[in-house]
Amino acid sequence: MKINLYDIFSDYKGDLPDISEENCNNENINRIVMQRIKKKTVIRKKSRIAIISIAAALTALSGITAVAYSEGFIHFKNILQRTENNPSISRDLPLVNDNNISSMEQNISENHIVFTGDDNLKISTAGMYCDNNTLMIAAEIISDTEIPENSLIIPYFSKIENGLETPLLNKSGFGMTSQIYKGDTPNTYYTSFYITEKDMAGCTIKIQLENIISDSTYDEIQSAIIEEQNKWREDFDFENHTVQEWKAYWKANDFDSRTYDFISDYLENCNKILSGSWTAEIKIPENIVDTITAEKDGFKVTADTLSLTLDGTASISEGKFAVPVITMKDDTVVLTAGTNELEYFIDNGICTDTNYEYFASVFSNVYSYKLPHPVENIADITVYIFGYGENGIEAESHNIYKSEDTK
Amino acid sequence: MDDKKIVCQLKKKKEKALSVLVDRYSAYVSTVVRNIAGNRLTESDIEEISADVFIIIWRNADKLRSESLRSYLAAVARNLSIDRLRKLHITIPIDEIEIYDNTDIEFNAEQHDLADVFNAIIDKMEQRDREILLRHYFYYQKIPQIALEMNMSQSACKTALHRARNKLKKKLKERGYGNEN
Repeated sequence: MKINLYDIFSDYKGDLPDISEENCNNENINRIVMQRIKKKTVIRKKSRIAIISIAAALTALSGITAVAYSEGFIHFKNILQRTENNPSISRDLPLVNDNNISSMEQNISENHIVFTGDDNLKISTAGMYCDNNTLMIAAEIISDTEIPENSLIIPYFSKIENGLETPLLNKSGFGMTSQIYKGDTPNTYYTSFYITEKDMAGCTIKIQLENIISDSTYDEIQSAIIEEQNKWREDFDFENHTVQEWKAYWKANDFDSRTYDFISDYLENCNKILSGSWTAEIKIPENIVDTITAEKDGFKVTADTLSLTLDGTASISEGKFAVPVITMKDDTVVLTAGTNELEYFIDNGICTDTNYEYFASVFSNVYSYKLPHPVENIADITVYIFGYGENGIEAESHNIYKSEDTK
Repeated sequence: MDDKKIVCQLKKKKEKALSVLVDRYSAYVSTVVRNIAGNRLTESDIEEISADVFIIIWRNADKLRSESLRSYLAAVARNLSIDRLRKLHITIPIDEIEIYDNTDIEFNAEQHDLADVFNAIIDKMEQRDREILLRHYFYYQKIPQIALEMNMSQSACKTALHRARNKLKKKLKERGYGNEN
């Protein structure tokens, strides 16, 4: 796994040196800013109208009797498309917009699954996108108590398969809160969830929602966890050990569970906007449309509109690593690569320095894209195995999939 | 209005404070954006991105602290610029080091640790090394610009950057990260 030094510096927290500032059109920037903050409400309404138009057009195309989508489902589509402008949503989310949402339509459905639990809130799903590896859900919340702006609800996910329930760890431990947005209807709010997990088709995903907290309480909990984990590091004398030793110590002391317990205890006693627990089970369809599955040379890939999974890497020799590369029919090449691997790809004509796109994130063998890529646009999937020998980089390639019209 | 007052007024959603903020920092923000974008974005794009930075500050005013306002502006400007270039499939520089093993960083603790270790290492570096690294890897400044602003020759600057980078890699390796390729 490689780290880009430029990315590490995103985490820099100290003072920055002064730099020579170039002239800019101050007045123009000021004008744009002031216009935008005044236009906020108008822009949101315009987006909503656009979504209704698209929804109506798609319904007409599919031949289904035209039914107006609910506000909740419209909100779901708005949520999908607001990632570009909303800094509070993870940059890992795919950039869905009016132009590419149609490629996801087959796996988007409006639904109304009611959460059971405390009766101070009524929560139900409003719409979802699901494929083999990605689940995105919007939920509608009806509350007689005012829920302030920037409030957060805390979701926990588990996967139920063959009667066995397995908790799904999120990418950042505690941190996967979901922001709550006010709807246009009185007492109505919306939130959304996004998870990636391999092989969800045919499974049931259980969502348990706990409590509504303010974002300042969330910050408080984050600070408390960091302080607690710092104590563990001090006990371990972190400064004088390697990161590998620290990982082994972490596992030996089951700090994952202790972190979870710490958070649970803290949440029980912290200030809440609303207390409660609500649960729903979401059945993921068995047969996901728009999927490519291919196997060769011990590797298996599954490609959906938003991600690719790769299995079979456990057999790779120590010191080597796998890089899946997807070539689209429009010549876009989706990959993950460090400096040396990227140079290899460019030198060997696999991509140029302008036509590649990095995966947005990689988690548990799920490589998520930055924007939707319909599977019918995939020309080729090849897995490269890289190693470093005396003569520098060494690579072998395994072509796992080639579309019929590119053979 | 000093930064402390600006932040206080922004938290109260006073538009006048936002206007003062833009006046005070638009040159700085647009310089950060321009350093990263180079000549690959138009002046209009740079103004749009700069405006986006201030909109984000406005929307997240609750999280602001006056002592880190400038750093926060720079960080947001940096992130938005990189995002814009990536969306346009424009190559941006990368400079990779390999983590010791090949597992994904799934651990919150490990991501946290790397960030903490990195900040601890940078804080302890000599001022000149830290500055040159920040200019190159945070601000995306190129050698000629760094040399000019740090009052050194370009060859001296190149050497100094190379040494500072190696020191950083060595420190990360000592802490269990960063095998040399």
